[in-house]
Amino acid sequence: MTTEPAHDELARVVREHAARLAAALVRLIGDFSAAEDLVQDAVVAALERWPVDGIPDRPDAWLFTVAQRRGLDVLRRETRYREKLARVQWPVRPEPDERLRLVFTCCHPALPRSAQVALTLRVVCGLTTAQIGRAFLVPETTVAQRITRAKRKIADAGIPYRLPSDAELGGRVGEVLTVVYLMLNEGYLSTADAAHSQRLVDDAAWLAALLHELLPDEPEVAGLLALIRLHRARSSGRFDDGGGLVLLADQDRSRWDHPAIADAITLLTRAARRQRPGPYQLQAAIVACHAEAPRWEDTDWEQIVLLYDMLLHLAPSPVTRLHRAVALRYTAGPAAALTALDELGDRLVDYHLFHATRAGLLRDLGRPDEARAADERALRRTSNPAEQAILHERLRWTSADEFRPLAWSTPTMTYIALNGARSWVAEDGTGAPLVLLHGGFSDGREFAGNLAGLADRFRIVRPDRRGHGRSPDPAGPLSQHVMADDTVALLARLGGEPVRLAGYSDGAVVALLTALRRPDLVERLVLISGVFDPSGWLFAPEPGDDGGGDPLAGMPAEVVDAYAEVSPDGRDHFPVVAAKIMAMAAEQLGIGADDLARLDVRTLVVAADDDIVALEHTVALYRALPHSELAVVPGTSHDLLRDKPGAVSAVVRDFLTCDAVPTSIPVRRA
Amino acid sequence: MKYVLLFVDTEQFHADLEALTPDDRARAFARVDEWMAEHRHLLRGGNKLQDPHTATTVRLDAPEPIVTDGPYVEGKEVISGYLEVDVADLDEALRMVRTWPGCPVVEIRPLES
Repeated sequence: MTTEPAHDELARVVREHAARLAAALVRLIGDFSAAEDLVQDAVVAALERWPVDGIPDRPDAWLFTVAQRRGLDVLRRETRYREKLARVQWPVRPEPDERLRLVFTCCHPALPRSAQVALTLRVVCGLTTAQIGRAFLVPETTVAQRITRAKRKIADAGIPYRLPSDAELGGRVGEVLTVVYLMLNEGYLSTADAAHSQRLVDDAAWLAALLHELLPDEPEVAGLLALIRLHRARSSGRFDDGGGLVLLADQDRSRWDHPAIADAITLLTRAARRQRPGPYQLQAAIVACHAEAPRWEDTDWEQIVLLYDMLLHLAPSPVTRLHRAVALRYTAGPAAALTALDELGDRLVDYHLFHATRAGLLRDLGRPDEARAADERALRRTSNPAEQAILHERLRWTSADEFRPLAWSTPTMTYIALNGARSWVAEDGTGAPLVLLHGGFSDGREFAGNLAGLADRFRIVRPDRRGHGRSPDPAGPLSQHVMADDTVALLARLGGEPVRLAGYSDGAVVALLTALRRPDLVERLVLISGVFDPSGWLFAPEPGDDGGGDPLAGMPAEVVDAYAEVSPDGRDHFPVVAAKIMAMAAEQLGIGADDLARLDVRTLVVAADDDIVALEHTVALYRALPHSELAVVPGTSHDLLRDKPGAVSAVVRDFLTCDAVPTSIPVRRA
Repeated sequence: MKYVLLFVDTEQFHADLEALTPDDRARAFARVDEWMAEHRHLLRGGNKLQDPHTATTVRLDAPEPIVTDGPYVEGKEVISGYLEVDVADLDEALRMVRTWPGCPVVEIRPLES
């Protein structure tokens, strides 16, 4: 093989015609082995000559002539083949299913899997033993041996050259699909070099298309074809310009072939209509979820976990469970994913992706030493240079001593689905969980430099509420009640024990609603500068009312900048979400005095002495709650977290870490 | 094309068979008889073997022939019978064997000629 540009065309023509020729010759001379030898000779000749001479006008006739000439020379041992061959004229008219017969013979269940693959690639796809060896990292002699043995078995054991009966077809199609799938896998997760693996994927695509053309009613055939096409459509994003592997999360999705993705999804949808789901359709559906997401953070992980559940139901496999655990990380968090993964330890101990995945989760959980050890285990178990490069990179970043402290303090940040909404959650520290709900127009970064300092005692969990920070703004209005539902989902996910919950400003409102809804999930509650009724705000935000038609008038530039810096919706979306937040803050909350009186959760009410929440309202809240304590931070404003971070943190820390003490002269608490 | 079907018993299969009630055992044998009748036109001979405890093995690869008690491989799986069949190809043999109602393992071997 010389010039690469001509190679694709060459490979396509060889593939197409070698299969036709093999199919015709097997039928004509009735001996699989002899026919296959002739085709291989012709293929080898074509691969030598065509790059030099150009592809002939009638490649099939060219191949046939070579095969016939060589055949007449070689087949001395069998005069009857010689006679038959001498009489044969090209073009013969192969029946449409000739090539299919060939595939079924090559993939006969009486042959070992490795031989099925080698034989299919050789006979149907026209690859040489050398090419097959390179694609599977097996010595050429091994491939040749496998093929020879398989051919002998076909002849001696009476493996027929014909289509399976209808009763057998299902199982036999499965056998063929497995071979095609192996080709895809080997090509996609290749251990060999890129050109060879790409060729293998191309061969798999060609074979699957052929099968689909001949068996259009088999949904699993369509499913596998869709799966291969979805992989190919995204292949251009998988490697950077230097040939390095790019992880899915970091891929430039504009480089994907979107029309091809749409076509593959149409194919898959049509197959699904037959209501006969199978492993290939489900895998294609999972890949489609990724292919359809405009951005990594838009990935529908809940749907993916569901599809993995269905897949595991049909085809249980530890590797599938590993992939499910990866998806679980984004719906249930890294701790749950690690638990699921560790159940597979004894079965996947030799699989590099098991260790690489564990490393990622351990790093997310703030366990860098274990993560590093896991990465090293992964590195020892892969021979794929692209994967090795990524693991080396990861190890380099975490091994340098100066990065150590950073690694410890760097929070885990991830998207999880809460109550159906994609939500950004940052976590750091260890200990009992403490959930911090930020204020309006802001995000979880707000607690840096104040309450986030409690990470020395608590596992700080900071979600960005819907439409805030990194959590995208879903369509429709925002609602504190819905956000309370989101928070309930978050608390429920944090391990089952009641959790400490603190909210600031609008976040305090959501925290209060959360506690009223599910007091069983809240261990204790901190409400900083929040209200239980919109009347508590001294100046109530009104949607769109700034006196001049601009909802952003008076909005500090740093608030907009901070939003633009992280929001997946972009700077231009800020006016939209700001209007929605203002509308939300003006909504009636529906919290009655009796609701507050029933709240059986120890609560700290905090406010500034010069807050935009009326001091009377703060006092009323403190009085209405049965187990409340009150702190008014002197010399501060509504921005008390930044005005006096130390003072606020000290009050909150004391409340969160100490039990209520019996007081000497109780009045209200008497 | 001629094949021999080698029927292989396992200890578990043997125990299960022993545990059957006489009626159930009779039904199990009847199913085998039915299978034989159904495929009679393809059968060219064969027989059930006596239990492995009756087997005697002679090894001729030693300086002197060594005669030992028992089958040639010690294991949980023993050959319990054989049938010669004449069918079109391996697929037809496979089709027959798929519905075999007796022992749990069957080896299909083509005859030399």
